[in-house]
Amino acid sequence: MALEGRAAGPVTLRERAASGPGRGRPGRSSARAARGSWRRFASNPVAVVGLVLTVLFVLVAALTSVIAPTDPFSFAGTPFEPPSAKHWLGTDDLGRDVLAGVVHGARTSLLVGVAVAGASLVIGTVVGGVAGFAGGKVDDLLMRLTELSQVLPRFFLALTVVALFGPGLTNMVLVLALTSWELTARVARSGVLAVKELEYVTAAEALGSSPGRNLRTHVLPNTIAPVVALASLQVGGAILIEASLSFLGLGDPNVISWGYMLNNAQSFVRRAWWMSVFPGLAIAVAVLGVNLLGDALNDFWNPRSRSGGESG
Amino acid sequence: MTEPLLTVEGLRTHFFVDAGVVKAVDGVSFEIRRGEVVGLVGESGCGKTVTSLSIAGLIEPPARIVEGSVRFDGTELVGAPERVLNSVRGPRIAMIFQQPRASLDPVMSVGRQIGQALKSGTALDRSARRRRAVELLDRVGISDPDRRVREYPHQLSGGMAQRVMIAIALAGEPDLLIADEPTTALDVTVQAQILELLQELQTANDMAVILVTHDLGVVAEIADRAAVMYAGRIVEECSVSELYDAPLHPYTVGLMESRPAASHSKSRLRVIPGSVPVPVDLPVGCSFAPRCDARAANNLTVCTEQAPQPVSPRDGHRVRCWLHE
Amino acid sequence: MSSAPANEPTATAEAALLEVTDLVKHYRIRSGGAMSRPGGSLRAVDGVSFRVGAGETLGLVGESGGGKTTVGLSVLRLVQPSGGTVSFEGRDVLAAGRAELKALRRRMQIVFQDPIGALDPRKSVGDSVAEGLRIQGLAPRAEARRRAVEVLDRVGLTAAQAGSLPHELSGGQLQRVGIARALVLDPRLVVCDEPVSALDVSIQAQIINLLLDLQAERGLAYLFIAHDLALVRHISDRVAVMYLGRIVESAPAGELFDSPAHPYTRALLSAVPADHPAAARQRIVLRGEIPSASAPPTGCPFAPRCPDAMARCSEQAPEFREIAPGRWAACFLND
Repeated sequence: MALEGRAAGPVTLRERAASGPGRGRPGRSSARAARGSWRRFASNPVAVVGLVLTVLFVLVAALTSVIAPTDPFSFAGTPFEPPSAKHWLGTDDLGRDVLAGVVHGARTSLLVGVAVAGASLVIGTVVGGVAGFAGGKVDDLLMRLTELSQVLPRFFLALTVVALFGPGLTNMVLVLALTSWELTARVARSGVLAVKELEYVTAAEALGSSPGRNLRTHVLPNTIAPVVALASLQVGGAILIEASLSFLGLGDPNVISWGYMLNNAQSFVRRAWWMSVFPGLAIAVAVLGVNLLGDALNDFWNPRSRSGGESG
Repeated sequence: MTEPLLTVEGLRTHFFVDAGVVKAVDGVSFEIRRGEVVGLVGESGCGKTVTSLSIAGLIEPPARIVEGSVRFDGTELVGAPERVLNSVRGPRIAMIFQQPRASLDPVMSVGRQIGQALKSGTALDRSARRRRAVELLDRVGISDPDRRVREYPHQLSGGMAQRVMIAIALAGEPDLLIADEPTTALDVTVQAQILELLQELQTANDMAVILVTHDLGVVAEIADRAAVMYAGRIVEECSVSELYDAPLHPYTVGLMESRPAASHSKSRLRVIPGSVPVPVDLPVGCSFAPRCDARAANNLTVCTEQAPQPVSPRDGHRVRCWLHE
Repeated sequence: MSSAPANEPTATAEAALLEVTDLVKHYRIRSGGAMSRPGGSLRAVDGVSFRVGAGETLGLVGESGGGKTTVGLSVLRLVQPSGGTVSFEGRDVLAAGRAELKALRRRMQIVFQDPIGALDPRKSVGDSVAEGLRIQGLAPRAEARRRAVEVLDRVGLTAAQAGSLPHELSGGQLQRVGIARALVLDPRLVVCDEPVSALDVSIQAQIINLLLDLQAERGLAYLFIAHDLALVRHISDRVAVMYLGRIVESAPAGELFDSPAHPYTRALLSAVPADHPAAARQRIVLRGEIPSASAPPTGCPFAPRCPDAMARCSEQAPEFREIAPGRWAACFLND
């Protein structure tokens, strides 16, 4: 005669204790759980630094017209003015305001980063989700396709595309987007493989749910968190590649970007340090911020790193 | 009467977690004599496993022994230095667990794992340890021990792995074996084999055994005495025959009566209402009071005001219940 | 036993609600495993036949690896059997098209062992219960919710608890939710796969009582899969014992437990820990453990562990046949 379930022990005890007092009170306890997650997230200093830097980056990009309403390509003063009250970050060789360049460049970088991460998330989820859920030949085919995207060298592919089709932000984003979903697809696939075997998916099938509905309502919502975290890590990489290409003079000449500014500054490093330092700093801060945040999200959501999240 | 082998007194082991203090073990006292088998029974979260880990000195943060004493053969183990614990734990107090395969190192052969246990407990040299490992495997009923000694845990079935765990536990010829749900993960026919083995080894080595289990049937099979735990305390302690024939605590009575075997087929079973409490914010007074039919029937108010102390209405039978004060 | 007769009787005189004939489920073993041979297959279920009458409970017992769960899943076609037939209310489940299968699943449901694993962690338990009505198109959202709350109330949960997420409820409460989810479609048959083995004993009794009450109220039939023999005896009208993918014995519950006809049933019963410390112990301790279903022995699958094995047992498989009215067994000892 069994007094308890087969799988009980000190762990059960701790779990029960953790969810103890709020039992059976809907709403309030979910809110409490959410607050608990936030506390756990906020207790990680790396996460907080990443979040602050990212928010700063996004604010600057969002408030471009408030901070620096002028066109970054227009002549604002005399060339090579050092930082002053009028031009906080100085002016460049053509007398353009560096602050306006940095602020408008933030918008370009954010656009590239978010577009690429978004594509990584969408393509990765669709490819990985369908591969994991369908299995068999579909899985094999899609995973070979994923491997193909993995072996393409992103940077050189981007170089080639720019060389063939001319420099342009759209081309660059397209190339980066099409080569950024390999990891997200793999994580989505393994998540789907794990979740689709769980009993609540079988239970929904027993209620008459179709495979497509199961994928949409049960499997994907329960696998998406680590995929989002991973996709967020693409933001930093995309910003760096865009900056590198622009630095090499392969960026879009009609769009201001930090890489373009650095490219422009390289001849004047000794004469006008502010031309290179501030865009460089902007890249460093933005990439550091989004990467720290992405890492923290990964730690928080990805079950394979550290203690895992709240999905269990 | 000789000095007991193990005396646990006023043991309190608490978990310090975000949600508060979980009083997993909250004032447990019992004794065990040489060669005696005591079943520590209860439902999940009652504190039986934490009690056994506290005895073996295996409590780690966020848990802590906040009070109490564990005396083993004259040596106090609570607060003892690691050196003392190591000389006791393993050679003299051995433990086996519910998941034998998870307790074995997957990349080490069975022979080496037994050898390691022998190394810390005996002064045998390498080849003697090897021979002894084969002997031990043979002793726990593993056929073809010469071959098995070279095998790895993944090559063993669940029952076989538990036999290997028992062989490792026996390496130091312990005086006390703590068996935490040793057969819960096994099929019933394999469970019967392991229980028979444990009983035979216990008799042959005059070893004391603490059998931590949720299974009253397993207790009936091999224990001499039983201690029933509820919400971190032992609510009743008595011989196994009294447990079955004359239980005193309303919780024990409820458990015995809710067994399907205790009623007619297809009739409703007697139930204990409510659910097992989480040991945070336990009710004042007796922890079982909110679920207790006997309290309601006798209209006792003291139960919800003051915690009952253990009393002995019969010789060798202790119970914590106001009905028996 | 693959030649098992299709006319195994049930306790009731009515036509069978569920009739399973010669059910076979083989899993192909992927190459690369240490044990696999090319073209190897795991015979999880190897020719199983049984009937469940309306309002009846058939207990299916056996040890792990016996194939019980695969049988349960096959009945609802949640796994696709390799052979045999499953007939429910006279309709062929295994041949049903998509729409027919969906309609059939309104009439038969399943309750799982792990109460927390069987519920979507992101959905409120009320939504999980209402889901069946939504999927089947039986009620619009508000109506589905209202009916979910009604069913939850019937199984002993409050309307407020309907809004809880699974991790906020205890194991016993979650299993009530699992039962409510099965009931909301008003099925005739519920497959219960180890429904209480993950629960504390004081909670087990509550769930068993709930299942018994619901059966009495609604005339439900249960296929009750469990390893706890005392429990199965308590809840079942008939009991079938599985070993290595086959049913080795089947009989009315009382008769099976009081006078088992198959040596495996006898061993299983004698291995159950005593009811009482003073109970006489005439134990048949079996040698070895259940062999792998990927390499089943020839002849009777139980022969290698059987205390009564004879020479012919390892050569020839005994037929599963009626040895007395209502009693079936596959063993030469009954010849």
